[in-house]
Amino acid sequence: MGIRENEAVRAILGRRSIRRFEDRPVDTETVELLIECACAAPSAANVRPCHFVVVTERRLLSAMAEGHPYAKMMFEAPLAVVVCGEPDKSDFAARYWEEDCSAAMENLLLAAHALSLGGVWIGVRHAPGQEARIRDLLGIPDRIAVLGVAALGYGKEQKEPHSGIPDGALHLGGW
Amino acid sequence: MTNFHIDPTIGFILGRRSVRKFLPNAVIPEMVTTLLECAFAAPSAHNRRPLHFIVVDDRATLDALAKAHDSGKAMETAPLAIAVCADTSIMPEGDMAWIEDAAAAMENILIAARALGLEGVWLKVMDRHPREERVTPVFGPPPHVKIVAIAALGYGDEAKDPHRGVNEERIHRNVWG
Ligand SMILES: Cc1cc2nc3c(=O)[nH]c(=O)nc-3n(C[C@H](O)[C@H](O)[C@H](O)COP(=O)(O)O)c2cc1C
Ligand SMILES: Cc1cc2nc3c(=O)[nH]c(=O)nc-3n(C[C@H](O)[C@H](O)[C@H](O)COP(=O)(O)O)c2cc1C
Repeated sequence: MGIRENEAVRAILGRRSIRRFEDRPVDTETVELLIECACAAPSAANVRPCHFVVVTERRLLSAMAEGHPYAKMMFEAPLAVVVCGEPDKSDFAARYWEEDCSAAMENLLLAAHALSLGGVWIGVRHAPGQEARIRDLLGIPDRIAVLGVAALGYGKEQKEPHSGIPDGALHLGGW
Repeated sequence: MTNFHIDPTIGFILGRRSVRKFLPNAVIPEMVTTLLECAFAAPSAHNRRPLHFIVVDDRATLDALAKAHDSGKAMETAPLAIAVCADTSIMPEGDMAWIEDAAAAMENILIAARALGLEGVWLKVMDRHPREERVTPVFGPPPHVKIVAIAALGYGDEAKDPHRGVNEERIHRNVWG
């Protein structure tokens, strides 16, 4: 078997942003497994600064979609996981929560793809005004930072897997 | 309780642990290419794709990195390192989403490594001082390129248990609390 046929490699290459969803809920056991995978992500100095808000209420999903310029798919998605960080947990958390939470988010998206779900990373942290809006909507305290939202569900679109290495982006030995 | 053996990808996500001691066996070029493809397959905000990767497999440079990085002992035995870098010049002024892109790519590298029978560890570079000032010159990137972190990679010489379970206190349903 070739290396690229490795099942996990195929899952990593096959993960694409899916923005159309079937009208079908994701069962609790699957949601638990997604979160377990997110919790398995590495974190600087093992601080584990991530929190997850699992949103399945239609009203809240639609409200999240409404006020975000690039999140219309949340009108359709049956599930969203809001990935949050706790910067004041420690000095390491303050500086690295964003990387820790991004690794957790990538685990969520990879696990979703592996479990036949589709999803997309909705940026919150660097989208002006969005962090305060999501905090208000979900009652997230001010001391908690919001990285982004994974909009998830059974996908209604298919995309080609990634492949190859872009020209000029690879350097050997040094820059 | 979930059965993480059901799906191999889930098994690799849960099984990924930070390994900092490696056997001397080299990583074959085909595997290195696959790791890089997986890195480039990570999501990217607005699909800007600001990432570059530097592959290091010569002993002298690995040793130099191990010395320059105060938490980089893993590179003393690792036969391979991949530096995850971001070209900040292609980003709009003040947009730091490249940190998120870089972290997602790093996680892809580490999970792909695990899937191929390799192990690795994420070694932070950016925003640690004087680490960043010591490590960056070993690679010699132009000033607009940030070395975010290095993955030290190889065949592991230590074994660790997979991750299991969740911390319920960190999971909130529909609203916080
Ligand atoms: C930090 C980050 C923020 C993103 N924010 C959004 C978003 O707000 N809305 C959206 O539709 N996609 C968003 N995406 C998904 C990207 O547009 C997508 O990853 C990129 O176009 C590459 O496509 P692929 O994920 O199918 O490989 C985001 C991705 C990242 C990494
Ligand atoms: C952003 C980030 C930076 C890290 N930096 C280092 C580092 O400089 N040196 C190191 O030995 N480990 C580093 N690690 C690895 C963590 O120490 C490790 O992920 C954590 O202890 C949890 O253990 P696990 O990866 O085995 O689950 C880093 C991890 C992350 C996510």
